[in-house]
Amino acid sequence: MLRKTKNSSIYILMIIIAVLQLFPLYWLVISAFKDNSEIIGGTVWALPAEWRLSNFTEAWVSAKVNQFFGNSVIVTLVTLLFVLLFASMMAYALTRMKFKYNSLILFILLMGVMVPIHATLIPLFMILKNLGILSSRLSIILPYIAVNLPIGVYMLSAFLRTMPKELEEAAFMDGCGVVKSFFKVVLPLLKPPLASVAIFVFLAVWNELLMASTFIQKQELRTLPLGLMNFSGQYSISWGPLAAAMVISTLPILLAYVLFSDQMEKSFTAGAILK
Amino acid sequence: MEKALSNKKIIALFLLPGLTVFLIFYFVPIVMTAYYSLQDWDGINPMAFIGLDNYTKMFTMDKSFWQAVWNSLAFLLVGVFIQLPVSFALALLVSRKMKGRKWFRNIYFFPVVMSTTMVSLLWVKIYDPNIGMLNTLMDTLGLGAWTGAWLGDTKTALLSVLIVTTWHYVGYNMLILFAGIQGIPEQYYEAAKLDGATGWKAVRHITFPLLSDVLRICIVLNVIYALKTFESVYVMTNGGPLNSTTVIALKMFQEAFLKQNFGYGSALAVFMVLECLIISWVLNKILTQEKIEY
Repeated sequence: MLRKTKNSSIYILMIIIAVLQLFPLYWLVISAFKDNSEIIGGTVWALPAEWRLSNFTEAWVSAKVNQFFGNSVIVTLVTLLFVLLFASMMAYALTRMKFKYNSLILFILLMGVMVPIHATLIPLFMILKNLGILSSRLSIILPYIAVNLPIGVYMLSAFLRTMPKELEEAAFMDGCGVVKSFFKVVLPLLKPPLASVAIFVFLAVWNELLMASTFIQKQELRTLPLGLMNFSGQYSISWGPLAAAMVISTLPILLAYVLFSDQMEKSFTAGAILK
Repeated sequence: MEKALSNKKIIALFLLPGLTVFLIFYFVPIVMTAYYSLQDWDGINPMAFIGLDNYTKMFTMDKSFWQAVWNSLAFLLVGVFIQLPVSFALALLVSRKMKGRKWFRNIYFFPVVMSTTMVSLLWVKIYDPNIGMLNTLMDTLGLGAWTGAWLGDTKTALLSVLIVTTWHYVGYNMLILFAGIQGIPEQYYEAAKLDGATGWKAVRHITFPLLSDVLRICIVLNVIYALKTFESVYVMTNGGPLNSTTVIALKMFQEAFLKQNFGYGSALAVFMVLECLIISWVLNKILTQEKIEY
């Protein structure tokens, strides 16, 4: 009997915390369907009287969220592709190949894990300006690749060290060169850690604001976080369209979370332990 | 195979693409920041070497620098002494064998994967005195006398920002601690049960000591996150009102890209890097004890 009441009080506590975590998000979603008079005059937690989609169309078209969304997709995909490719190649070289400066390179990469990106901002701005790419997407794609490489290399090397070499050796015996056996045999075996790295990089790049707001000069190249921030300045009076824009920008993350929540949890724990 | 793996051309082929990008867009900038910090420079006219003057200015003349240091300290203390214990409690709660625990874990963790920009913009609206949910909610609950312009008032702004970062990241530490708790073998608890240690006693004598490594990681992570705070402040208050919420990273950003003080901005960046490295090194030293084994 005592145990039962204890258990149900724990349930109640957990539900209260869950409500605290979810209520702001609930308010965001219902606001996205309300007009201003309903937001200001109505009850905070009431469902919208009418599920109007006008906020979404306004955000998507007039406030150019479609453009920001497209930019974020392009930047994220290109960054992901190169981080995964370069990091697995580097990790393979660092764990399997024999050369002198192995530990020096690992040490330099470790600096990339330890030193905050803020410390690179001012010189990066100058470098990008001198390279003449401040007005292109490359101005954030290149730094994003650089920033996310070290963690990728570390996660992948940890996996490679525990992976037996027999399969690669067999492929080599069959006449594959190192390059071919890397792409044909090693890369497919790296799928699980690559998935962890991919999730980590996807979230980091999709959500990044500091570099985007420093390096992106052209309005039409803005990514979602930057676009939303400016949007909120312009639409300070009407909350509905901004709420809709925020819902749209979180949807890919929610989708990824629903599909890969276990993988995401693993990726976050692994990433944390590296630091 | 061995021979092919020590072929210099192949090694270069595998290493150079990534290494080049990393060196140019990460490593070299770090070194350059240190060099810039010794210059008086507006980013356009030639630099003038001024030695440590930027640092002298930072420590002795810039009042808002010290404000930023204090604010970072507030983020740090809240992160370690409020957020972490709450996360630990949550981790214990979701480790209990009960129905729906995965749901709860997912709900507590979800805010972590949302962008800081998004979360901050959302809370700007929640705190908004006109359309915000908080004041309306308080009016409904009869707490109308306590409502305010949360982010616009020097008395409440910092606290309001701290509440948001805690709300946002509490699930992160929970997840790491939860993973740690899952790693503790069941038989320890069973043995403890025979000795009469259940509930809090088991937590105190088994969970807590065996998690010391994971707790150390969490403390260091929280401290570094606190010292690096930028986005939440930038989006919610931009450092105001009257610098009451400013932090080092924001000051660096403003000095460099709004006031064109590239030299001084770099000095602030160097301060931040050293602060992060030294504090995490010291913490690792202090908190690493001999491994506990049973």
